[in-house]
This record gives sequence, structure tokens and C-alpha cells, in this order.
Amino acid sequence: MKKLLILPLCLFLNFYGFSQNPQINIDKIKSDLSQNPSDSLKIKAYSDLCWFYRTISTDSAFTYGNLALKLSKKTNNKVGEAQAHNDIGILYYGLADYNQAMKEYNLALKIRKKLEDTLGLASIYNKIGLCYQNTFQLDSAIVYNTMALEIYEYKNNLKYANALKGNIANIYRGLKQYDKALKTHLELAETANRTQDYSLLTRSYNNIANAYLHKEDTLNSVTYFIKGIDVAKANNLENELGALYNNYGTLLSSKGQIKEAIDNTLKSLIIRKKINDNLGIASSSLNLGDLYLKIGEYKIAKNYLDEGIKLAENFNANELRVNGYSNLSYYFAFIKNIDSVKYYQNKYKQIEDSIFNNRITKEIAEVQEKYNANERENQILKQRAELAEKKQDISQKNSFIIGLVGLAIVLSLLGFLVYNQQKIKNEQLKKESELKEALVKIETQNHLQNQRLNISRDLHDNIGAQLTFIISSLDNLKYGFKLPENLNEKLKTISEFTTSTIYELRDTIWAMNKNEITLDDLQSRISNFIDKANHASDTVNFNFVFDDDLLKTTTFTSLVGMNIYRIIQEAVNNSIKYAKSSIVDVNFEKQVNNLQITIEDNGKGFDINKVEFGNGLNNMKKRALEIGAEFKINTKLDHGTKITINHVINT
Amino acid sequence: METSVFFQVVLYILICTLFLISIKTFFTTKLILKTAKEKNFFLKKELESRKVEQKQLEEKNLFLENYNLSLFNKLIEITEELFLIKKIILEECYNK
Repeated sequence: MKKLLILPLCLFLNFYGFSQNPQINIDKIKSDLSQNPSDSLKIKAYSDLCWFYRTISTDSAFTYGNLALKLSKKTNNKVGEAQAHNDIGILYYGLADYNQAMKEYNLALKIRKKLEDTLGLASIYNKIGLCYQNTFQLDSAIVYNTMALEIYEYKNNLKYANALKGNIANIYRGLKQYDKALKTHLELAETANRTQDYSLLTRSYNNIANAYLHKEDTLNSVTYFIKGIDVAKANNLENELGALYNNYGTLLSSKGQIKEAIDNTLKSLIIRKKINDNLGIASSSLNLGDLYLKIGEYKIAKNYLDEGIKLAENFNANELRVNGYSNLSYYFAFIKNIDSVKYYQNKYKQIEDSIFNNRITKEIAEVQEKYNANERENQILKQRAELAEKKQDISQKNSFIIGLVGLAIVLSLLGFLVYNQQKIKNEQLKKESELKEALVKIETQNHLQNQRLNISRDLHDNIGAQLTFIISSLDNLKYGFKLPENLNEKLKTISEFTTSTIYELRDTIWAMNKNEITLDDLQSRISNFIDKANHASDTVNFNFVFDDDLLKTTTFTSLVGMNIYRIIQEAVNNSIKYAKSSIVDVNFEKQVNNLQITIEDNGKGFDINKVEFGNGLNNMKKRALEIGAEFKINTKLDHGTKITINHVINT
Repeated sequence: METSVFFQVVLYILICTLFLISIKTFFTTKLILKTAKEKNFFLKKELESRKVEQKQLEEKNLFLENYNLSLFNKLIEITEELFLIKKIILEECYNK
């Protein structure tokens, strides 16, 4: 009974859209052909005629299909050629010659691949899938249907995509995976409901009801049949309605509700006759024959059985035929026509053997399919494991390579850093040794210079002692002996000259013993000198002014300090000796970066243009020049003298 | 597999160690640079001060060279004068 349900359903799914008024279309196309159109239009017309003759006359359909193929080849029209192979393939499919159908489909597939006609390819994949489905090679059927589905989904052609999903679900049902099939049909019903595709919705409801029937869930099955009938009625979907009534009638019959079953099957028959669905008519008629037999209406049953068997024989529908022969043999048994019973039982046996063989083949195919599926699954698992192992291996290798690269980078970095460190160390050592060498050289030179300085110091000490002895001897001579006046005068001059030489020597020793002379040192030395001068001459008033702003930390080299001291000494001596001054001012004043020293007196002065510079003035000038100081003399006759020294100081 | 994992662990430990040594070397180099700069600075400073000292000594010696010359001249002058006085005194003694 279940097989009876599947057959019309599959046929109904495959060709549901192409069954309306073929003769009208044929006439119209023939009239177009009579006007001698272009070759491409002729090919199209032949192809259309092949299609429309499919349900009326298979021979005519083949004739027009071959004409379309011949003309396409002649005119090198690849699109037409592919279409012709496709149409011929459909014809062979209709005749259940699936091998021949697949040959034609493959030829069409080859051409469409070259033409890159993706939608055409999807259509061929779908048809090849159906061929595999009908020859029970369900794995290949799923592969081809999935290929077609991918293309339709990519092209967003939801109508065909959904139909294919339904088909794949039916394959699952063929594989007895009812849960999977039911799940897909439920999803499809939901999609159809959302997109308001009522044709798909009714087909889905029909399939859901059948799936529940396989799962022996009669309650849900009835619910979905009724739902499907309601939707089909509301949307005037006669094809789907006919199938639903017939299937529902079968369900009711199995539940023993014969009267309701007859009502529904009659409705199905009426609709199918209206739309000229021959196989459907055969199925519904045979079902009615069976139902009337059950209620003892033999005559009516005979009429339906005859009608059904005739159509089933015409369309070579063995499943329907065996059902019909069985019922007819029962009928003839009721009217006690033994020969006819024997005749139909033989026929029944014959067909049933053939069906049984087919079933065995199917079962073997199913078992093989299951075995193949298991084997494939194992292979897939094995491949997955191998893949995972390879992946892990690659990941480890990558990690190792990354590690090696990292090691190389770190080693290079370390090498560079060590090299850099050594380079810096070497450079530093070189610089250091150069500096130390220079330092040693200078120190050696300084040592030599110091030795010379020491020799000079010893010499000066010696000379100082000798000069002191001379002065002492001269004093003894002067006071110990009575000498003539002129000799005393001479002795005094020598004594004074020697004393001044000793003073000069002491000043020099003072300066040479110091590395540097501070302003403080200079100040105290000058103060001493001025004090002495003050004692020597009561008539002269000395003023020594030291600017407090001057930094006491200002220092001079011993040579500069001594020269400044000598200049001041000379200037003061000149003021007392030659200018006859009563006031002598010595000023130390700080200017921006200068130390300004002025020695001013109120003496008789001189005319700078007329007076020739003596040793004293020239010495002062020379000393100032030696220390890089500016030397100025401002003087006028009877207006005193002002000597200015400007020396740059570093504060 | 285990050997490979062991080698990887060794490899990554080696990388980490070398990396740490690199960091240490980098900072040591920086320290060496800093120390070298300081040392050079002090040496240069000392050299400068020695140069100044050298200049002063040279100036002093140059000055003393001239001064010593003038001092000897003065000594000769004093000696001359003293010989003259000696001569006068001796002449006066003989004349008496």
C-alpha cells in the first residue's frame, strides 16, 4: 500500500507543472512552423512539439526531438543541441529507460558545461539525480540533487531549490530515514507558508502526512492530509488535491472507514479525470474497485477495476497492475468464474514475481547503499582522522619553522648586540688610551717646566741672600769706617739700588710661588705697598678704594697678577717721585666684564705730546700689553694724571 | 610526536634564554656607554686642567728667563759699583 502511495507522488512531483492543454499548444506551434521560420525558431518549435507530444504520443515526441537535434547539429546551435538531448532524455525517462535517459542527459551536460549555462546544468543535475533515484542508486541521486540545489540556492531560485529539497527528502524516505525526511518536509512547509507558495505547501503537507503514515502516527497523518486538502481547495490546486484525496482515501480504508474512503477516492478520480492525469486516474480507479469489492458492490467494482487496469497496462504501471489483477481475481472468485480467476491469478503472479524481483533488487540496492554509506562513513572518518593528523603535523612543522626563524632572529640580534658591545669597548679603550697618552705627555712637560721653575727659585734664594749680604756689608762700611762724603753718597745709591732689586726679587718670588693670584691677594699686596708709601711720605695722602661688587673669587694667573701689581707700583712711585702729588687714589672698579683699575693723582701732570716716555711709562705700557689689558693715560699740565687699565676678567 | 614536542620545548626555551641574554647584553652595552662617557669626560677635564697648568708654567718660565737676565745685569752693575768703591778706598789708603 505504501508503494502505491510513493509512485504517483513521485510522478506528480517530477512533472507537476507541464500537463495543461497540450493539443492546443501543438496546433499553435504547427501553424507557426508552416510559416517557415528561421532555423533557431524551427529548433525551438521542434523542441516544444517534442515536449507537448510527450503525454500524447511518445513516437511523435521522439520524432520531433530527433528533428530538433539534427537541425541543431547542422546549424551548430549548441543551445538547441543541449535542449534536444535534454528533451529526448525526458522521453526515455518517461519510458523508464533510465540508462538511455542518462546517456542523453550526459550529452546535454557536456554541452551545457562548455556553454557555462549554470541553470541548464542545475536542471540536468536534477534529472540525472532522478534517474539515479529510480535505479536505486540513492547516494549518487543525493550527490546530483545536492549539486543542482547548490546552483539554485546560489541563483536564489527558491522555487526550484525548495522542490529539490523535497526531492532529497523523498530520497531519505526511500532510504527509510523517515525522521530526516519528515524534518526536511516540515522545514519546506514552513518556508512555503512564509513565502505563500501554496503549491509547495500542499505537496509538503502531503509528504508530511505520508511520512507520519510510515512512522505509524495516524493522528498526525490525518491532520496533515486535512490541512493539505484545505489549502489545495482554497487555492484551486487540482493536481495536488487529486493526490491528497486519493492518499487520504487509502488511509481511511486502512482504518476501516470504507464509506469515507470511497467519498474521498471518488473526489480524487473526478479531479484527476478533469485534469487528464492518466496514472492518477488508474490509481484512483483501482482504489475505488478495491473499496467497492469490500462493500460487496461487485458490478461497480468491476467497472472501476477494468478502467484502472486498462490505464495501468497502457502506462506499464506494474504496481498498479498487480493491485488490479489481484482485485479482479477476487471479483471473479465472487461470481464463481474459475477460469478468469486462474487467468488473473497467473497474471498477478507473473507481475508480482517481476515486482518481487524488483523489490529484491531494491532491497539489495538499499543494503548495498547502506553498506556503501557505512563504508563511506568509515572512509570519511578515516580521512578526517588522517586530515586532523596531517593538520596537527603541519601545525607542528609550522611551529617548528617559526621557532627556527625566531631562533635565527634572536641569534642575529644577540650577535649584533655582542659585536656592537665589543666595538664600543674597543673604541672606548682607544679613546681612553689616547687621552691618557696626551695626559702623560703633558705631565712630563709640566714636570720639566716645574724643574726649571725650581732651579729659578733656588737661584733667586741664593741671589736674595747675596744681595742682603751686600746691603749689610755696605751698612757696616758706612757706619764702621769714616769715609769721604762722596763715597758715602755712592754707597747710599748702591744700597738703594740693591734694596729695590731685593724688593723686586721678593715680588717675583711671591708671584712665582702661586699658581693663581686672587683679587684678595692682590688687594692685600697693594695695601701693604700703599701703607709703606704712606709711612715713607707724610705729605702724600693715599686712598685705596676697592669696589665691593667685585667678586673676591676673581682670580688671575700669577703673571697677570704680578704685572698689574707692578703697573700700580710704578704709577704710585711716579706720582710721589715726579708729580709731587699730595693725593693719590687707587680704585678697583667692576664694569660689565672688565676690571677697571685707575691710579689718579693731583700732581703737576705733563703734556703728553711734548714729554717723551721714559722707562717707567714704557714698562707700564709693555706690561699691560703682555697681559692683554687696555692702557690709558689722561694728563694735563698742572691738572694731575690718571692712568686707566681695563682688563677682561672671567667671573 | 613526543620527540618533536620535546624538541619544540627545547627550541622555545633556547629562544627565551637567548632573548634574555640579548636584553642583558643590550643593557650592559648601555651601561658601558654611560661609564665610558663619564670616564672620557673626567679624562678630558683633567687634560684641560693639565693644559692650563702647562700654559701657566710656560708663561712663568718665559717670564723668569727674561727676569733672570735682567737680574744678572743688575748684579753685574752692583758688582761693578762695588769694585769701583773698593778701588777708591784702596787708592785713598795708598795716598795716605
